[in-house]
Amino acid sequence: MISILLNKNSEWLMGDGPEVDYVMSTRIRLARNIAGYPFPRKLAIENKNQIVKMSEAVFSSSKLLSSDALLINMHEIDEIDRQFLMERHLISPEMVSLGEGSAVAISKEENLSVMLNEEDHLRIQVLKSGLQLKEVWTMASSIDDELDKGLPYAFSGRFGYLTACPTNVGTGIRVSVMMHLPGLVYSKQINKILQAAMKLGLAVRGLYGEGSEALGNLFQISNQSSLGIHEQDIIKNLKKIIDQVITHEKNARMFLLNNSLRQLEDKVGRSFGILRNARIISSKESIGLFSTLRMGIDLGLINDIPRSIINQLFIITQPAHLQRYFEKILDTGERDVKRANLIREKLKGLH
Amino acid sequence: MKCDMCKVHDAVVHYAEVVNGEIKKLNICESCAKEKGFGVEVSFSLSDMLGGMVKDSAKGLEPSQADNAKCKDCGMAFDEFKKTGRLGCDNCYVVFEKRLISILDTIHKHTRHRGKTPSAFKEKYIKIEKIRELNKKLKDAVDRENYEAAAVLRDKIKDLNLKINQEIPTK
Ligand SMILES: [Zn+2]
Ligand SMILES: [Zn+2]
Repeated sequence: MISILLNKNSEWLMGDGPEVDYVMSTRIRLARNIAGYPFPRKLAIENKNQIVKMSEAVFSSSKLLSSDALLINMHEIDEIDRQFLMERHLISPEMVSLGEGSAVAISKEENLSVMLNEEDHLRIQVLKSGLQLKEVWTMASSIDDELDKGLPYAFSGRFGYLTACPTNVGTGIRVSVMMHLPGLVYSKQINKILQAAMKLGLAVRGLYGEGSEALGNLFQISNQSSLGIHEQDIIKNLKKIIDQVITHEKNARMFLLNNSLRQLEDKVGRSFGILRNARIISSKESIGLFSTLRMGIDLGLINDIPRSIINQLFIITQPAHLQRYFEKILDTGERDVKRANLIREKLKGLH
Repeated sequence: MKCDMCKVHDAVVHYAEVVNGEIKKLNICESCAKEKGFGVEVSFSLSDMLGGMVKDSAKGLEPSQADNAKCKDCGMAFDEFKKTGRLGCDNCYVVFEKRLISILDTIHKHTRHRGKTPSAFKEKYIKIEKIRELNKKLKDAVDRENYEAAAVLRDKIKDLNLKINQEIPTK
C-alpha cells in the first residue's frame, strides 16, 4: 500500500500556493471524539476496532474521502512504513508507535487524512501548499460535516468538542503554518520575531530540531487556544501575525540582497555545489543546504530548479523514505551514502 | 458560595422565584436540589453546565462527595488526570467540571465554547443559549425589583427547559 504513495508526490509539496516564497504549507487539524466511548487511551482494543469500522463506513459515503482513499491499519504495516507516513506528514509522530486499533485514511491527493484512535478517536487533517488558510479551513470543515452526519460527536454546550487533552477542547482546532524564514535567521532577528508571536499566544517551533536551532530555517506557527473563540477568528488572528512575519522576512531578504549579495550568492552556490557533488551526506547537513537552495530560488538567484524538487527533497531524503525508495533496510552510514546518491540524481542537469 | 439549605456543600444551583410579588433567591447544592426536587430549575442549571449530551450530572459522581470523585464511565480519578494531563472520556468533563474550568481558563483564557456545533446538537444548543440569555435578563429584572418581568422570564425559561428535557434521549 505504501508503494502507491512512494511513486507520487504529495499535492502540498508542489510549492505552488500563495506566498510560497515564505510559506511551505498550511495545515488545519480538528480533534473529534465519538460520544459514549472512552477516549482511545482508556479504550479496549475491541472498541477501538469498532470505532475504526464505524468511521470506515462513514468514509465510504464521503465525497472528500471517496473510494480511491487509502485506509491503512497501523498493525498491518511495519514501523518503517509508519515512519514513512509520518515523514510525509500524514500521521503524527505519536501514531508511529501505535498498533492494532489505530488506523489512518488518506485521500488520493494526500491533502486530507483522518487518523483514527490516536489521542482522540478522530483527528482530521488538511494540508495544502503555501498560505491557504481559507481553503484549508473550508475543506476541513466540510469533511467534519460529512463525518458529523454519521458519527455522534462528543460535545458539550459549555466546552464544545470534547477531547482527551483539555488543551484541544472547544473547537478542537489547531491551525499551523509552516514558514521558511532564512532572511530572519541570517539577519539574527528570528528570536525577536518568534518571541513576539509567542507573546501573542501562538506556539512556535522548528520543524526539524527545537526552538531557534531549527534546521532548514523552517518554523511552524500555530494557535494555542482552542476554546472560546470561533474557528474563523482563530484563523484570522493567526493570519494577521503570519502576514507580519512575512513582511519582516521580506524586509530581511531585501536587506541581505542590498547589502550582502556576494555573500548570498556564495552561500547559495556553495550549497548547490555540495548537494550536486557529495558522496556522503547526513540528514542534518542536507536539510540546511536545501533551505539555502530554496532561499536562492526564492530570491531569484537560481532560476532552473523548480521549488517542488526542493520541497520533495526535504521529505524523500528522510530515513524511511530512503529505505522504501532503495527497497532495503539501511543503517545510518548506508543512508548517508544513498541520500547523497538520490540528491545527485534529482539535481542532475539543473543549474 | 455555600448552599443555603445544608450550609455544607458548594452551591451550584442558583434559583430565583417570584412568590406573591416577593422575590426569593436561593443558592443550593446539587444534593439538596435533588432532594427538594427543584425539577425544572435544576435541569436548567445542569443543561447550562453540561450542554452536550446533557446527562444527569449526578450520574457520573460517586455517591458521597464530589471531591474524591472518580469518573464512573472510564474510571479516571482526578489525580490520574493531574499526572497524565489527559482525560478518559467525555463524562470526565462532567465529573471534573469545576476543577477543569480553572485549568481551561489558564490554558485558553476562555471557559465557554464558541464555534462549530454538531448537527445533532444545534437546536438544543440554540435553546440553551437562549436560556442563558433569559437567565441574565431574569437576574437583571430581579436586581431592578421588576418582579412582573421576572415572572414572565421565569416562565419562558421553564418552558424552554421542558422542551430540552423532552428532547434528551435517556441512555
Ligand atoms: Zn445543600
Ligand atoms: Zn471519564
